[in-house]
Amino acid sequence: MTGDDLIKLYPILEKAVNDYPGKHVAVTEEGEIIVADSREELLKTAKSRGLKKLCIGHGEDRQIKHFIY
Amino acid sequence: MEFFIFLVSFSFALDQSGFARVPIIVKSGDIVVVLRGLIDTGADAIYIDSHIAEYMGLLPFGVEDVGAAGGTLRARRTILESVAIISSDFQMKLARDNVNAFIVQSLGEEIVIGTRFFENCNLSFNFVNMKLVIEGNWIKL
Repeated sequence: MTGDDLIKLYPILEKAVNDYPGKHVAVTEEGEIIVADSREELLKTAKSRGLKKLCIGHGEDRQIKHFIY
Repeated sequence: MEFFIFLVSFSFALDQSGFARVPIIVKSGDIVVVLRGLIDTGADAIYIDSHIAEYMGLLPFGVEDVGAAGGTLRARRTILESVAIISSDFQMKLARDNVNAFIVQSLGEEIVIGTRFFENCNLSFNFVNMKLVIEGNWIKL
């Protein structure tokens, strides 16, 4: 899978972030979903597995309803 | 050979909070990530979370203070080899190479795309239809 082809996995990522509110998720080239409590933990797992192409997102914490950016 | 199309528009649905999150591909060497990037018209530059920067092996150089809604924070400068917003139909991209960015610790988002990325583009938010429209030089993916 080329880098640009990875975009085909984006719908899986979108579904995963909705399915796991408050969690950090990644989708591998093979379509596997990895879920973790923190981004640090998620990417440590990805790195330890030698994954070089990933879709990464986070499920919104539904307790937080207002934002200042 | 890349095929340029001038001023094409793509729209993206805003989420329930009215935020625009769009698919973004960031490349650095052999690492490629697809992120859900937040378009923030209140930000000027690109901000990337420190854990993602570390995973991608982004080289930090220099520290700068960045003004944020909650005060000031320290950020490290870096350069992103390639950043591309992908159209909602996944067929086109709005791409920039060798882009200045800031690495921020505990950034709530994976990546925040500020207004400088959109030079030569028109951005419009339609809160009636809950859509962001980006008009720019989209090229074929």
